[in-house]
Amino acid sequence: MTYNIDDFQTRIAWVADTLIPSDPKSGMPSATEAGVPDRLLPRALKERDDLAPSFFRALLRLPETGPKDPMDAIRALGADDFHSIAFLIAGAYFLDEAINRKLRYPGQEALHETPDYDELMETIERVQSRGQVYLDVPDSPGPV
Amino acid sequence: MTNESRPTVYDVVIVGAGPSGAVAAKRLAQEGMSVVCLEQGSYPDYTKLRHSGLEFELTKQQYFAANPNRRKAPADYPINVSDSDIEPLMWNGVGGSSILYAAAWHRLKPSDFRVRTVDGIADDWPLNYAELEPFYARVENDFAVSGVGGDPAYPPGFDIPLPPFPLGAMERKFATAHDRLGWHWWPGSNSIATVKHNGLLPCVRRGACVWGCFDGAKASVDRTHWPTCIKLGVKLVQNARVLRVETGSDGLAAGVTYVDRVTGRTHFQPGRIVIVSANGLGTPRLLLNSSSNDHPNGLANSSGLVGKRLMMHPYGTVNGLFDDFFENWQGPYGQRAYSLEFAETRKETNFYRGAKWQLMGMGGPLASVGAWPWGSNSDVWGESFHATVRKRFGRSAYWGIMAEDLPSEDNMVSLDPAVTDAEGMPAVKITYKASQNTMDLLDFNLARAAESMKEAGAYEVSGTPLMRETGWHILGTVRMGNDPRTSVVDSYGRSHDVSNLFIMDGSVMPTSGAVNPTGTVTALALRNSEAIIKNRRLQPVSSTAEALKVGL
Repeated sequence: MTYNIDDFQTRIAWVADTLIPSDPKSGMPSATEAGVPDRLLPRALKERDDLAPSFFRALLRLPETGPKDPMDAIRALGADDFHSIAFLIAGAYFLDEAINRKLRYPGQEALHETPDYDELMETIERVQSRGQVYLDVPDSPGPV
Repeated sequence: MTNESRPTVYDVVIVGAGPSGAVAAKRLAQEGMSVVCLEQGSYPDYTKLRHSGLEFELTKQQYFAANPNRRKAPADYPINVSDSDIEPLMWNGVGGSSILYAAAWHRLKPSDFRVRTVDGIADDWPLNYAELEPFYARVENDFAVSGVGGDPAYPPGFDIPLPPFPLGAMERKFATAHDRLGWHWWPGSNSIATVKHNGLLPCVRRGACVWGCFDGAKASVDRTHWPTCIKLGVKLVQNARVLRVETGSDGLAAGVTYVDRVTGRTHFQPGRIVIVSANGLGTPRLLLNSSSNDHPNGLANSSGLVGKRLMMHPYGTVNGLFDDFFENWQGPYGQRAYSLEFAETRKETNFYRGAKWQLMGMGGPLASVGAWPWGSNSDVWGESFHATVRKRFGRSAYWGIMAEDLPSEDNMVSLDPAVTDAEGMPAVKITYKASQNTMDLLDFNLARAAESMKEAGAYEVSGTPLMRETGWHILGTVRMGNDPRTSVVDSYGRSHDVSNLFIMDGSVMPTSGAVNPTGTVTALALRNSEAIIKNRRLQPVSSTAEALKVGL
């Protein structure tokens, strides 16, 4: 069975903002403010097409519009379906470059650094000065 | 029944193209022996990696997930874990689990070979540290081990061939904390190249080691060994699910029967020597499935120990939150540092043996709301979401606590006759319960690691005592020893029952130690291979294979 994300936009909006609301104190946007439903989630679902069916099946178990206690409704899906939804919503949210800039996350960079050997040697010499950290044992084979 | 009439008879048939199989194939081929290796999977498809972009966290667990029951790749086989505290992790393909290992590299300590002598429990090994040491040194060069030599947690002589990674802010916190505590600490040793070496490129600390190395720096044997093996003439047969090791009327191994997973055809591959390197699950699975009228309880199983004594290094974490922002998402991942302060039995504790601690990176923002290493992630959503990310991302570290697992015959691998893989071979069932010794050991080490976290400046510390999906190290299920009544193979991996059948993987380890086992497993494979070379003129071989070789 194939699913069309456009058929789920209303559900996705309330579910996404329930999981990731805005935080004015830190200046972090909600999921919908960040563009999860229309811009980021389609990218995430394309990257993880293996998870898309379980994501949509879980969404179908939720009401079209947000219930009175939306978090309770999502949790009532059970751990597996909750994870299917939460992982993809959060995964989509963190695809946004502006959000990662706010968090100071540059992605997994390629770093080309040279060790400071002076610092390394000073550090390990302190450990070595504390002495041997293994048990001496008889060298001959014991009973086997 | 097979449907091939005249296969080539090789000197050596190897089952499994992982670290031990690759080490053996390379060394035996260097001596001019003809070698064929049958691998149930294929080469990893590194084009599927997305590690350089923001998609990394979202996609890392897709093709390169470590749990075969979740990954469900065509080469995987079902594993019944309903009666197990821990789920086994592995990669089934060329490179074996070196594709997914974190590449933290260690030797065992001298006392790990003498647990019975030192502690009066479990067993001694049929060899000692000094006997394995030269082979450790050779595989450490082949596996591009980087780090700092001179660790006082080992006898003198553990020299690391490649230079270390730089110290970062995270490592410095714990170095000074352990100075104050008077505890051991050491920069991470990893089989990750820091300079160009043995077909590997220098690591750029991408931090994606356990999901397939994007940058060609981690020593997985598809990169370090198989190119050389192929040049030496080793025949590597991919997508070959080996169903049985066959024996002739003389009781010796004559070869193996396998299914080509692409064509569905069954073949018999004869050989003068058979080496099984299919890991601590796959190896007992194959031996148990090779039962016949002559050995109804499975091949090489007169001791009844094939599949028994499963050990998996129970694993917990201690997580700390810090006020300052520091780079905690880059590699190596891998271990950035480790402590062996509590790795051996101490007089003041109520348990035997100990644990290794490894200082690990935390990943990016998505990991900060995930279950690893935080345990449950059910309370991080909604109003807690941003505060959780702010507290954890860039402001956290964890000690991974790897507990020595002691052998018990109640912990075992058996065939699951109710379930088969796609080729009709019985699946495996694991029965495994962490012992009271393990739980006491973890409790103690988690408490000490919490002290370490606080001393390093953590304002909040949490712990996860026994994590379920942590069975990277699958050990002990075909144990070695000198007595055929109490062991399956001898100190060179040779079956006591079938003298041209060798086992080379973690399944032969009589005890587990507390450290990552690939160094030990590959050193044993190299030692065993040298013994095969030395004894090749005297090696008994199956008359069935010999007859095929001369065309009878």
